Amino acid sequence: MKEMLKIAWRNLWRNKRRTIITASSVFFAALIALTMRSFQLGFYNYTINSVIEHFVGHLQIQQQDYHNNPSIDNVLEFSDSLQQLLSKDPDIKFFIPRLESGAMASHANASKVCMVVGINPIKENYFSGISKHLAKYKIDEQSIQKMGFLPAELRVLINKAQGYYSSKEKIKDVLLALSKKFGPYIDRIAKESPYHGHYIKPGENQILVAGGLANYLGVNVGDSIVLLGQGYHGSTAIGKYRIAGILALPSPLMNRTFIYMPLRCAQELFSTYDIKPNGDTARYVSYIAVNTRFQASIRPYDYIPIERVRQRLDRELKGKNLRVLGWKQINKTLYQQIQSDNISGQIILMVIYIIIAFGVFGTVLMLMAERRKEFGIMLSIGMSRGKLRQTLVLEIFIMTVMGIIAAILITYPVVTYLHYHPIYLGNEAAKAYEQFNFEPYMPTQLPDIYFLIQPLVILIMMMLTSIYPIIYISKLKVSKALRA
Amino acid sequence: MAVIEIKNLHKIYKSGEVEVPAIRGVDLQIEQGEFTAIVGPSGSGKTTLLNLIGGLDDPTEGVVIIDGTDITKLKDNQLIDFRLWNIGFVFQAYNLIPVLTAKENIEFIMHLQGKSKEERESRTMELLEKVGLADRANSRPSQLSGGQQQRVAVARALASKPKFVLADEPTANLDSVATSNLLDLMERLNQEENMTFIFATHDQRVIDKAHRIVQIEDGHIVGDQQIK
Repeated sequence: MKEMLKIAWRNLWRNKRRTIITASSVFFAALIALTMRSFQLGFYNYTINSVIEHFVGHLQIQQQDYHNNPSIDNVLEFSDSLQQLLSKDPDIKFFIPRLESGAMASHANASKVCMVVGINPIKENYFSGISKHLAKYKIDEQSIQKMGFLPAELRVLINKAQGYYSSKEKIKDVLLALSKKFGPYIDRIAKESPYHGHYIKPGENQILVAGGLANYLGVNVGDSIVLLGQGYHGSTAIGKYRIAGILALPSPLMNRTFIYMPLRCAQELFSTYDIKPNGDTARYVSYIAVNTRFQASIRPYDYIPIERVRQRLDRELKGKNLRVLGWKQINKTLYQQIQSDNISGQIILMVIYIIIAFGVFGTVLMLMAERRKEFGIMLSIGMSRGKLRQTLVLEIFIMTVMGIIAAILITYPVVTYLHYHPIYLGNEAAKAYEQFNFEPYMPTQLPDIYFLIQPLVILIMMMLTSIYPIIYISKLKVSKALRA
Repeated sequence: MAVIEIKNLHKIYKSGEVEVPAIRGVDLQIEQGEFTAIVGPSGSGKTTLLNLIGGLDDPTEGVVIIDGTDITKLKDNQLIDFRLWNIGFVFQAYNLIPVLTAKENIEFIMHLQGKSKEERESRTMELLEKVGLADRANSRPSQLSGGQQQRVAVARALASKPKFVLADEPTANLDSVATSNLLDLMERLNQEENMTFIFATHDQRVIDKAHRIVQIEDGHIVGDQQIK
């Protein structure tokens, strides 16, 4: 084998230019594959992370009919026994109850349909980190007027950036996407646009309003909103709440519609409680979001342990008019969007692989034609066909591996950097993302198993081109080859 | 004792519907230690006969027995193995492996035979000394002259300690000095090691050195002459 490797290696450098060109084509295929896959997986995981890990939950426990009819009447009791069952399950990392229902939010002359979410403020913040979305900056007409230091063209542009921001970094991303000229002014713009609010506390009668909704209603921290909706079993839900803080939520849809309030406050608003025969109060929630100790991602094998927990919980809750749903069932649209994008991405990659494989195959054809006589000599002096085939396969293997390794060495640091410093998509691209309710960031996935799988697929594709030399050598007539 | 025994050998090439007989009923015996030249004009069947003796081509009819083995009955892999252990080849265009040095080209055959490193190295150096190229051991073929390359090819042919060496027009690409040197070398090896050499040639300088001349025309042996 060592001897064959030596010959294969030296053969490659007989025609340096051809070897470099062929290895380069593999390099570009691997570079495109790894970068593209990294952006795809990064985006999926970023979306799943923000939507599933931090909002929907890996699993949800719901009343039997809630999924098909998410009405305020299809609620479940967040009983002590249910809490105990979930607490002692070693695979469950975290669970939180939520009460959700639609309502009409009004302030002065403005009103808008919204989604009211009753939460346990402490647990919810731990789970979804809502407080980090609390608006700390607000760019509006008033703050823009104060920015006398801005050149005229930027003063016009900054109007497009009006809204709430939870951090200076977000302001920076948005402004720089509008114009790189904002760079030197970011700190001063942030300084001129402070916004104050606070996170809600359990038992408090205050609410958090999403930025888009707050803008529409024209409300600010300290103002009140009237909520009107339908409560449990046909009751009327009505209440007036003071705004504790404004949220700059990452999902544009949520940012236009969401209002958070303490769970007990929401249960009072929607009257989702009953007095039991023994005098206790049964308090209801829409669902319990559960996170397992496993990781949610687009990869099918990551879903297997989550599905196992789901099935077990479902069995344990049998007969209680409850069901346990996995995130793929709950958020079918998101899953299908990701899945179809994933498949189309893989098809594109496959096409790239096939094109490159044909390129390599062209090289193999040339190589075979040029060295026909040499093969005849090798066979005539006693080299077995098997060893000759081995040498040729090794040549293709080495060329491919050279290209792949070079691609990995270049892609690895770039992908890692872009994971921690994701690209913010400005203007039109951002709008397109927002249409699908995705935050306009393009993070990459840190190199992991896909850094093995993609190169492996390329290697397999390229090695398929070695089928031809294998057959060629098997059928080669020595006397004819010697006459070549 | 006959190292090669050829009986009623025929080879017909087919080109579409046309049959071209290249060898027509050749009978020939070659003894151990012979220095034989197969001579004849172009297209007479010299190379085809050599290819059949070397198992590089299948005869249409007849047998080629080498040291008691009928090589026409061997399967492809057995034939390759048989060539490795029993036959040395010297080609017109030297045909060394271009990516290996002179030393590695010679060693390569023994490597295929699975011989130990020590054995390979000592035999290689011995052969390089014999062909007078010990000082060019680490040169690649492209760094050697035609005559030097052909001497390395001879050393390679002898590396496996074959029963005989088949040389197809070995001097065709060489100038007169290189030809003379090469023929002297092969004659010396023939005498010192009792190595059987069979040449296919129409080079008078080779014919002059040969101990036996087998004349071939239109696929027939038309003359067989012992010179020495």
